[in-house]
Amino acid sequence: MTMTGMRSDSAGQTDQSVLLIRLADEVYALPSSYVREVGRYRAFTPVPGAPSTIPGIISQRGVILPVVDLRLVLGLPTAETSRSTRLVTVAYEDVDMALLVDAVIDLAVVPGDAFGQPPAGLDPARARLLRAVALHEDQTVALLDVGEIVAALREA
Amino acid sequence: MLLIVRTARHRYIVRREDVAALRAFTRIASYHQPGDEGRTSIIVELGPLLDPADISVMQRRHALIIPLRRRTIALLVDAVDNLVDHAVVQPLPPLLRERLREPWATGVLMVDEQPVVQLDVRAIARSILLRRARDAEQK
Repeated sequence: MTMTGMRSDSAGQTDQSVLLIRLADEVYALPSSYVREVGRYRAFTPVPGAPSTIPGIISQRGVILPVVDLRLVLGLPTAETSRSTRLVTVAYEDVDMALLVDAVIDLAVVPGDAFGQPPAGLDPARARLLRAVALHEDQTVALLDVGEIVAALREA
Repeated sequence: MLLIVRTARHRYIVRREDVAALRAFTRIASYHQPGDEGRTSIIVELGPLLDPADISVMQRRHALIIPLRRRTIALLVDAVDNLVDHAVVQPLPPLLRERLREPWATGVLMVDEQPVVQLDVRAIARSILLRRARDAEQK
């Protein structure tokens, strides 16, 4: 899956190339510059003593990746996997990980002027993980902050 | 040399040098074997210790004998296989390794194209002993 990155319009606002994903009944966006691969769900190997947010590992082309349950990271209830469940391989600085998501919707470019601040009333732990919120094709999309997700995963 | 140990639901890798002996075991109340040099034994099912849902119904068990200073820990599993393959054990991803509740999982080995977690059974044995000591103090 080729990723296109960012581009600026005439007003200087930056369009964002994203991978739209679904978690529960909510739509989130991952900056496509961090996305390496999307694959069908396959059973992972659980690791004893691992936190619920990083319950196990998979081998992706010989590389061992931690599996991150993105629902739990965002404070959403856990769910059974289904035919639409996907593993999204993401690389952020020195961290590679496979994000467990309910479904991958599409690649999209969200205009820079569509983004706004996340709602003020949001739980701070969750708000921290969101860079912005946009209305895209009549749907509210929350842009995930991958760096903050990694930071949250590292915290005890 | 590495061992593959099988519980009801999972496979794990164990370093052979961490295990003093392998013994057949049946579900009986007492456990006395020659060679324990007077140490009393603590017998623990490895499966549910690592995953509460990993409960074996097999009567015939295999015990991994881990001697510590004063006690011997017997970790029970369904089966043990020698692994003679010279595959390289990879480290756990740092993101995961940093967050483990206990330092029991130490690496990963690909077996039949599936990642299998390597366990430090001596660390597990020490943790069991510490928990027993804490439980005894609280009584």
